[in-house]
Order: sequence, then C-alpha cells, then structure tokens
Amino acid sequence: MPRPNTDDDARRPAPTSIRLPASGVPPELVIEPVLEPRTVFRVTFATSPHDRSALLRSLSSNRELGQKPRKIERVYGVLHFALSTWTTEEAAYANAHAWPKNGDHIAHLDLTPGLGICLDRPQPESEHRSLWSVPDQILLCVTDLKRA
Amino acid sequence: MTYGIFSSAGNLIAWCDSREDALATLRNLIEDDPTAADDLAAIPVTATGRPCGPAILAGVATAEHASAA
Repeated sequence: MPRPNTDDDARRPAPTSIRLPASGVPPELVIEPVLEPRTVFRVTFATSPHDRSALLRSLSSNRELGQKPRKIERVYGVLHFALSTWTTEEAAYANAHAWPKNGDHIAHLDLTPGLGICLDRPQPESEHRSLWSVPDQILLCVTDLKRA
Repeated sequence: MTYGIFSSAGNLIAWCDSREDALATLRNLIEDDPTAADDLAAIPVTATGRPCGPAILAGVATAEHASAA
C-alpha cells in the first residue's frame, strides 16, 4: 500500500545525482578523534579566558550561529558543524591579520582526549584543521589567550 | 594562489584555486544571500593553507564587479 505524502517529502530534493565541483572540494573528508593531547589555535574576539560569553560565541560553528549551509558545507554537511582552527600559532595570527573581523586574539586550545573532540585529517602539511565538538566542551580546552 | 572563503565567525566554507575563482565564488554567495555581504571574505593562503595576505571582502568584490560591468 503506498505511503501517504508527508511534509518531509515536500522538502526533500528530487532524487538526482550531483557531481563534485571541479575544484575547491576535496574528494574525501577524513575525520579522526583526538586520542592524544594536541594543540590547535583559534582566532577569537574574547579578550580574556574568563570572557565566557565571547569565547562560547567564538567557539561556535556556522550551524550553531544559525547560518545556512553554503558551498563546501552543502557537499560535506558535517563541515557546517565544524570550527576552523590552525595547527600553528603563526597561521592563527596570519588569519587574524588577514581579516580582523574574525577576531583580534588567539585562543590556545589544548585538546584533551576523552571529550569527544574530532579533527579532520587533510594533507599533513596543511595548517588548517576543522574541529568538531560543542562550544562548552571546547571551552574546557582553552588554556591561553593572546592578543593577535 | 589558493583562497579560502571564510565566514566572519572564522569558519571555512570554500576553497578556491585562484583569485578569479574566489571572486566568482563570493559574487555567487552574495547573489544567493545579499545580506551576507559583510559576513564573507576570501583570504589568500600559502601551499600549507596559512593566510598570507589581506582578505577580499565579499561586498567589495561584488561592488568592483558591478562597476566593471
């Protein structure tokens, strides 16, 4: 017996295939849990480790900030839930200076195993890492804050 | 040169292989959502993905394209 149409059916895209864009979108995304302590850096507007409100906002994904998925986030939906971080302090400083709207301080995130935090694994030389967790868990990892 | 398209929150939403590609991507994003003009920028990055120059703001990219047309 056919299933009646629902609102979900109306929202679902037509079942057509899509192709990855010719450039700008990697053919695969590898995500790994944080199993050993490691440090990444995040640009923030928070000026103090005690500025919980600003830190939480700075540690939010585009999804958590209410933005709709765009570009690469529409291919890899998990990236809509990710936070951009940097593997070196220098790269984070360069990010802050390239676009001050991203923030004027650098948060050191000493990632602790056991908090459920995951990172992507791009090419080894890449200084950018997408990070998955929830803001209040990442907040536990903020160990230092420096002016950019 | 590669460019990363970032939201003002600092989160990546696209990689682009050239300045032209980055400008076109910004324009495309603004066409899709004009209110995002102040929320997006393209940042040039090195081969290791490290930012290496000033951001191109989405609103500026769109305005330049409109005046050139």
